[in-house]
Amino acid sequence: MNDRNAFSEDHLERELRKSLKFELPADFSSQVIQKIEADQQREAARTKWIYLAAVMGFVALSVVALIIFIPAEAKSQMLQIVGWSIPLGLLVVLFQYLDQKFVKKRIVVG
Amino acid sequence: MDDRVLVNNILAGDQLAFRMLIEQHQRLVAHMIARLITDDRDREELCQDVFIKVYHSIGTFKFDSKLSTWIATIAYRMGLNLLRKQKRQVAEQDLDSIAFMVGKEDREFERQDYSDFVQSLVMQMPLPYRTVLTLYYLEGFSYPEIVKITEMPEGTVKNYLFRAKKKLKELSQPYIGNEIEKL
Repeated sequence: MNDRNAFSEDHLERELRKSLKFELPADFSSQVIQKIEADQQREAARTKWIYLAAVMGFVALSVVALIIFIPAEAKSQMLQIVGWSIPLGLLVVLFQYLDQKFVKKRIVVG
Repeated sequence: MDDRVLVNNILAGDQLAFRMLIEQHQRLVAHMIARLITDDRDREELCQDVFIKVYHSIGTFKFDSKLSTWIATIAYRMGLNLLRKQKRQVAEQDLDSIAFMVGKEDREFERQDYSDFVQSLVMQMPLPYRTVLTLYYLEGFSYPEIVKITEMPEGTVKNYLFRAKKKLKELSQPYIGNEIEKL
């Protein structure tokens, strides 16, 4: 009887220690990493859109505030300022682009 | 690789280190989830989600336990959460109140593979019994580690383990008799 008990206990414990039949695919780690990367890209895109929406909202609110609160005679001056600020802004962007493309790259290589 | 080195490498952005962590612990996570969830598609997706959670939370790991214990805790909690979402019974159920199915016919067990037979019995057990059996026998966790993972008192863990094994022995007696006769 004791032998039978010991046998049944050993047999059972051996079975309980055996791996289950459910297995994950061989490329499981790659799948997880791909999913993380996709999540990160989605999150980055979401952040970019939120940032853009915030900037646009701020600009729109500023324009509305200016239209409502600035007196009529100052508006013509303002339009002049806007007229000058557009080419100035473009020049700044162009300068940054040229700086990035030719000067900084050369510094890094040097 | 040592747990501390592995975690520090992952925190430094080393993708290979994270891949290594997955490969080292995917068997543990697969076993834990397989014992909690029955649907194969849910199982695989949940295993992926466990490692994604590990990736995002690795900075909070305090090295106060083994990395495997911490990962098993995450897998256990996420498994329970999914079961709760699916409105499955997670609440404690008494082992003796369960009518175990040992086969459609009285002698069904004779035709079944003993491994399948034991696994089917384990899967019919209430969730805490299944979990404790998996952690103790399949993954070789100690009592304090099982306490940490499941948040059950040590006495309860020991009691569940003892009662689950007793029940399995009792239910598999006819099968064992058959096996002894074969020898």
